[in-house]
Formats: sequence, C-alpha cells, structure tokens
Amino acid sequence: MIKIKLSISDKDVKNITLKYKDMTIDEIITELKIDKDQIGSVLVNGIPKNFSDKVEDKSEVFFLPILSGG
Amino acid sequence: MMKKIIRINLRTKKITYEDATLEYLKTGGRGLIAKIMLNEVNPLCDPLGRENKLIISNGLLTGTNVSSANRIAIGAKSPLTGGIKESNGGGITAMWLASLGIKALIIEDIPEEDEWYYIRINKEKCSLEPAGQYKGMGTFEFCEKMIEKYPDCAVTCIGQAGERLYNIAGIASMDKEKKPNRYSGRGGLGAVMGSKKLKGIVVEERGTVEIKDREKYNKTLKEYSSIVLNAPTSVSYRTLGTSATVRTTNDLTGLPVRNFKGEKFEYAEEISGESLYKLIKERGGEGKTSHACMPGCIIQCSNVVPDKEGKTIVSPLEYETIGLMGSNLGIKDFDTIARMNALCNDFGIDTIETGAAMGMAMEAGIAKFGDNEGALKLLDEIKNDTELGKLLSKGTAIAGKTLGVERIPVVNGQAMPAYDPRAIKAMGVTFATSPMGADHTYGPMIKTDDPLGASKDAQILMAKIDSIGVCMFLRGAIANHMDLLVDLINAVHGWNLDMDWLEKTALETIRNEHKFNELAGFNKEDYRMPKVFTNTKIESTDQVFDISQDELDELRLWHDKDKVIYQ
Repeated sequence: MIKIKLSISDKDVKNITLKYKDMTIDEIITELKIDKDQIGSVLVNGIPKNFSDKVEDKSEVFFLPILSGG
Repeated sequence: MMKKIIRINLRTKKITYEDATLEYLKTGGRGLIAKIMLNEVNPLCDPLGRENKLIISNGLLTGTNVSSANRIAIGAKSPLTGGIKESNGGGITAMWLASLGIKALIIEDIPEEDEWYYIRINKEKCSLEPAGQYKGMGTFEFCEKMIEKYPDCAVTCIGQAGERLYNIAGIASMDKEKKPNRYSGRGGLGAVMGSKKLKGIVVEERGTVEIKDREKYNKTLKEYSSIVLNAPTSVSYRTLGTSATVRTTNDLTGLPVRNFKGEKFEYAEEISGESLYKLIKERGGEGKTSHACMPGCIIQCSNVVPDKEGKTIVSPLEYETIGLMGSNLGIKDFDTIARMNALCNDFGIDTIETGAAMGMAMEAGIAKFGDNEGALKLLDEIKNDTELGKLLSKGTAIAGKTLGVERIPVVNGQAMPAYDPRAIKAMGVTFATSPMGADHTYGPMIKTDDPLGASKDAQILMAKIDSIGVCMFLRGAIANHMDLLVDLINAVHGWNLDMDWLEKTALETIRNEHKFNELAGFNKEDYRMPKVFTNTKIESTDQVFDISQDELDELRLWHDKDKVIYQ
C-alpha cells in the first residue's frame, strides 16, 4: 500500500491510498490523474524525489504546491 | 510594548527618543516606512544626500515568540530606482530592538567630518560610537569585532560595497548563529547607509516584550503555530527551501538562463532543490537542509551549504541567487554559486542585482557564460574596484546600457529577480507595476491563468503581510487565516483591531508608496516592461510579455479611485 498526500491546487491535504505495484512517481501522477503542472515538489517518506524515481511499498508520497523564491 | 522611535542625526549627533503616535504604532514594517517616507522625506532628494533618511522598522509582532514575525524592514529613497524602497530580511536585530521597546530608528543626515560611526543601543541609551577602525571590513569581520565588544549583541551592517556607495550594496543582519547572512539586499540601501558614514547598528542586549493579554495570546498562538507548522507550503520550505522553485520555473521556461535569453536550462536538474538537498545530506558536516534564520521560526526555509569537507560555504543558498548567479550566468555547480553568494554576503552586495549585472558583462563578451572562474573574476573586479567593477557596481541598468547590451532585465532601474516575465506573466505584471522596481516580493505569483488578477491579489496580500511585518513565506499557510495575526496583534498590544483595519492599512501602504514616487517625479512611462520582453519571443513557447500598457496602468492605480496619482 502507498499512502498519498496531495496538496497542490488548494490548501487542504487530500489523503489517498493506492495499492502497491511497481511504479514511478510519474506513473502515480498519471494513474491518479493529478495535474502535474500544479505540483511544486514531491517527497517520498519526507525526502525530495524526482518524478522518474520509483516508489517502494509502504511509502508515503507527498505532492506539494508550487512555491515562489526568496 | 514597542513605543519608542529613536531619531539619530549623523551631522548634529543629536539623538532623540520619541513616543510613537498611535497612527505609527498601529502600522509595522513596510507600512510604517511608507508613512514616514511620505511624511518626512523630500521625494526629490538625492538618495545619497543629506535629506534622505534610512528607516529601520519593526513589525507589530516583532520580539514575541510568534513564528516568522521577526523581520527587519529597512527603507529609504533608493539610489537604484530613484523611488521609495523597502527591503526586509530575517535575522535577530529586529527582535533585539523590539525587546528594548524600540519601534523604529530614523537615521538622518550625513556627518560633516570624514568620520565613520556605528549606532550602539542598550537598555539605557542609544549612542554614536566611532567606527573608523572598522572601515574597509567585510560584514563578517565587523560582526566578529562587535561580538568581541558586546557578546550578546545583534548587528545590522554594511560591507565595503556600502561604504563605497555602490548601487548594488545591501544591508546585512545577523542570523541566530550571529553571522551576517540575512539580507535587506535590494534597492541599494547599503549605499544609503554608507552615505551616512554608518557602518552598523549594534543592539547590545535583549529585553522582553510585554504581552497585554497572555491568555488570548497563548490560545491564538497555539492555533496559529499548528496551521503554520503543518501547511504544505511550510513542509516544502522546510525540506527543500526556496530552491524548490528551480524545477517549476525551468519547466515553464521562466528560469533566467544566460541573461534571460528565454530558454530552458539544460543543467536545471543539477541546480534544483532536490539536488541541493541531496548534496547537503551527502556532504554532512555543518550542512543543514533546514535552518531557522530567526529564533522561533517553525517554517525554517533556510539552509547551510557545506563544502566537500563539511565546512560551511554559505547559509542560506536561495532560489533567487541560484537563478541569477547560476542559470543566468550559465553556471551549473552549487559550489561556485555558493562561493559567490558567500563573497556577496561578506562584501555586502545583493546577489540578484549583482548576478544580473554580471549577466550584462557576459552578454557583452567580457566573460563567458558557464565559466565558473570567469564569474568569480567578475566578482573580484567589483571587490577590487577596477574600472569594470565600478561599472557593474552601478547595477544592471547602467552596466547593460554602457556595455551596449540589448536585453537588459530591469524595470525602474532594478534588476528582475529569477522569473522571465514572458513565461511567468503574473510576476512580470508585479515587476511592471511595483513602485519599487522589479521586485518579486511586492506580489509574487508563478502559476495562474489570470496574471493581472493574480498579481493584484498577491500585491494586496503582501502589503498586509509586510505592514504587519511578518515573513512572506507565511502566506501559503496563513492567507486564509489572517484574522489570527490580527488577534495576535490585539493580544500583544491590548488593542481591538479588525480585518477592516488590515485592509485599510494595506491599501494605505500601497497608496503612500505610489504617492511618494509620483512626488519623486515618476510617471506612467517609468512603469514599463523593457521592449525586448514584449517584442522578442521565447522561441520554444512563442511567448512574449503581452499584457497591454493600459491594463498595467489600470492595475497599478486600482487603489487610486479618485485618480489623483500620476495625473
């Protein structure tokens, strides 16, 4: 099972669970029909990852909103 | 409660302690600076002359343990834009000042004699102390000297660049590790401080801030802190820092690359937030992916970048610096960018203006894009005050025009932060309508289908945030909970302010700033996106900055219902 936390276009966090299979973050985005343009960054178990990275079973994937500099 | 305004005259050496009026008390940070500027400073004055004033202003919650509320706001008439300027930064100086009951410092005039000073403030008094022996020091050495004299101090100061009146000079404040890494960088405010022969402001010790309604304060603070801590934007800032933005802007072809050429950076992944996180973790040592620049901050967007031996190169390394001194110069390695950032912090210059000015030199063929050593050599030219260095020290606009560069990324004399306005149009709208030149902090917005509306909303939100005097990185967490900040202000001060007060304060701040610029001689033709960004497409996306001048003028003056400004 993969736990998904989604917070991109609104301020609330949506929690979704996904049955585990061999997938990259990009494939999760496609499967859940997430608007990739609204994603600022992705953490897997708290660690920043790239979209092409694979996700292991029992992971938590947190999709975060776009920030602006500083 | 913060009540005192200290007025320090560098010519007469007179120091006066004034009780702030209720009107001044009920505005903080940028809002108070705008009021004082409009009330006291001749808009037509020479920014580096006797009539200009340097204003240090605290926020309404500064000195408390409210997260992200200890920003120092610094303002004056800008030598770079010729208009009003406020630039705020983190660190500890504001907290120290507020804890001694000080609301603001108004620093006036210029010494008649060729002597340098620093302002010393403790619980008993404020005094001017001789600083001749510190002239020529970088910010780090000056802060070390002050710590030797005053071990518990907080310091805000300039480096050699401010002493030399460089247009690119900023003002540094100590972070909580007592290093002068937190910058009020923009607008050449360091030169204004240097023009007054003022090396620094040293707050010798801390006091405490009285909370009028402790019960209400504690209850509201608990709710506020929970929202700020858990907000997804805070999670992102805390993990990746502002460098999280690199990938987004590059995907949009909005990261500045080789002097805003309008292309994606082929090495963006190497300078991304994700890569910076990995580098810091792998190198370990003194490196930190997350770091608070001021006590009590729970967002902790700052970081510490270590070298291969684990020793600190710079803290923090942020998105704007990665954009302007990295991709904008074709540079793809963090070590070089971090080293340049550290040099800028010590010498006392703004990484945005300096990076954009270096882009002018590279565009003109003086150095090559992507040449690490060439970029470092350009910084040496500035530091060594060579002819080329003098030119770059005047800022991007003057350097670009003098060198014959066509694509000069400035509005109102100030360099654009790391957003190509053709791709990130809402930021372009902000650049072209801000009274402070191209300044992302005036109304930041990256992704939107409505650039004009989004920029306007962001400008209003930032006027609220800045007039309370809290950090802009709260806005993702707190935009829908601004009432909590108002409640905290009421609890601290024993007031009964409401959301209408906040709306009015924000509106007044924006109006005051535009009014100052109008009186300084600005007209609508000053607020223009450079033609090269309206006429030259980003090849891969066919985008130009296509917001009409009429639309920009209308947005800039939305607050001026009586049509009294710029007519």
